[in-house]
Amino acid sequence: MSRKLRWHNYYLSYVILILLLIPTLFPIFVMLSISFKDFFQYTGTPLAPTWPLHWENYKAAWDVMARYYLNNIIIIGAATAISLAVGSLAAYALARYRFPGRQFVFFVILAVLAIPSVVILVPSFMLIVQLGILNTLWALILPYAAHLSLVIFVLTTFFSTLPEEMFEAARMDGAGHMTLYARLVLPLSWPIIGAMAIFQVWWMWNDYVWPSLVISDPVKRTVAQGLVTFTDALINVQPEPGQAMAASVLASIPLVILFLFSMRSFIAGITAGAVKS
Amino acid sequence: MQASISSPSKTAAQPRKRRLSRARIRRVAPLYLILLPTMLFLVIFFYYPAISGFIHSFTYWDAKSTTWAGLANYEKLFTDKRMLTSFTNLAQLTIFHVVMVLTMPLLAAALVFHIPHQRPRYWLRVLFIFPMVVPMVVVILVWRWMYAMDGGVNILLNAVGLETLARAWLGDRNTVLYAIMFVGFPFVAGLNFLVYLAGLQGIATELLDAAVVDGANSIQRFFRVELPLIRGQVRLLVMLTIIFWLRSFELPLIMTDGGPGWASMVPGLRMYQTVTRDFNLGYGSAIGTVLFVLILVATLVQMRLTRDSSESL
Repeated sequence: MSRKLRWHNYYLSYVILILLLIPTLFPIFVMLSISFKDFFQYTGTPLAPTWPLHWENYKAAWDVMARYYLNNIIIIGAATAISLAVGSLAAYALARYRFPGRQFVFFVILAVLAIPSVVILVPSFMLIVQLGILNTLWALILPYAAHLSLVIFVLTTFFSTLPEEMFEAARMDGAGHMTLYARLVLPLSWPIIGAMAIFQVWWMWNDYVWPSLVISDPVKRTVAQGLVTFTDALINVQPEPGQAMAASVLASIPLVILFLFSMRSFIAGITAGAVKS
Repeated sequence: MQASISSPSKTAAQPRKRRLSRARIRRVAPLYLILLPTMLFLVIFFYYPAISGFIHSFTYWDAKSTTWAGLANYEKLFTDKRMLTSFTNLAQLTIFHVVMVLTMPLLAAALVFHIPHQRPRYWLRVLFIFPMVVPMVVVILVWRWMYAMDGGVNILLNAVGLETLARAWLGDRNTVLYAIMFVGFPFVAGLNFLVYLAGLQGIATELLDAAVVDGANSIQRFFRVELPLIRGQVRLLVMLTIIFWLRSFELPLIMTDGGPGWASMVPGLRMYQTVTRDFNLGYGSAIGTVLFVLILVATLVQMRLTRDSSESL
């Protein structure tokens, strides 16, 4: 009896979930569908897929977006590498040693989490001007790399769970800080460092406001920024919705690939990051 | 979690009496060097701008000069009628999304959690999480297309015979704010769903079984057992939603630039425009300071609530 009641309940659950899923995925469907249309297909059948597929939309979008991709790889690669290197070293020091000023340092690091970068947007912009790096890739790399607090917080938590005996033994053998860090801490921590790397790449790839403020040179635009200018141009100058949507798809692909290949770390990294920031 | 961090872990601690020994000084001294780059980054890119912004919020500040202005920027901020509109817009957006975060993703997560068939459950979970990986700018641009005159919303309205309702949703000052609110409908996908689901999965199965044995139906079980046990997640997501909307303005920036008029303006966007348009940086800093105070209050409330909820568990 109860079994039948249950099946009835699940039937309803599926109906509700599918009704929620359709509008959730609708924008993604529309984006993919339009990205393969030429202008006449678009005006005739704007939503449903049409054949033949116009792959040349992607060719046209890529010709513009390739440059932005390269910029993103340089900026995000450098900033992620710097923040993880600097942050994991700091986490090593904070997690494994007790020294005068440790609490203070920790406070200075964590208090930054209460300063969202948006509220210091205006003075940060002036800082970039004063440093003379406005309109260079450094204007993105350095402030991005400075987003260290979360990395340090998560890594310190993890590093302090490593057993002290291993460190003692290595010290007996005369190991210094760099040896302990590179030979002991890093090899044991790749999964968590990977999750933090994914989190950094994710939010940097998503950021639009800061690049749109400090980068005006078209050649130095990031993907997010370039996508908006490219789409605006296609709306205002010469309507090619297919190409605009193709560019949107191209801008999404790297994160989608990252997600598909590392779903677990992806979810772990973003949950940790978003919840604590 | 925070508590275990601020007190040094037992394994890492050195005995106190060896504190001043030479070997220890030799080991500890380089640590300051290791921490130096971190401190430099944080001081230069967070603390300096934060302090500079606060001080300059009392000045007229442009590229070349700084003049003391006292409270003039704040006075302008709080007396400007249009600025008031931007704050009420922000309040409407935030309240709407708080209501949404309390319902839609929670409903979806609870339903997915109880699906007994493993494969469909897995795929539903993946499909609800997946939109999270689409970059925010892409989402905004696709939704901007949805609201265009020849865009998705009007196409759907025409298809069901409601063409009289069709309009340029973002160009109409009566609809623009609601259009921006509805971006992301039905508000299930992504982090919120994920956090709720993780919370539900953390509930001990015995508790749920006990509820069933006691004759609770699924609605009662949800409100009497599950919801109280994920109270922490609910509070967390409410605070995260408030903080998110206080500090985000990409949506109006890309979709409408605050227009038409000031109909979709929010304070963050006005602050952005003090750099890109009128170069009135002192005024921009004042807006930033106000936003900072609002976010700080929200954060403190969140910390308080999450501490309470972890104590009561």
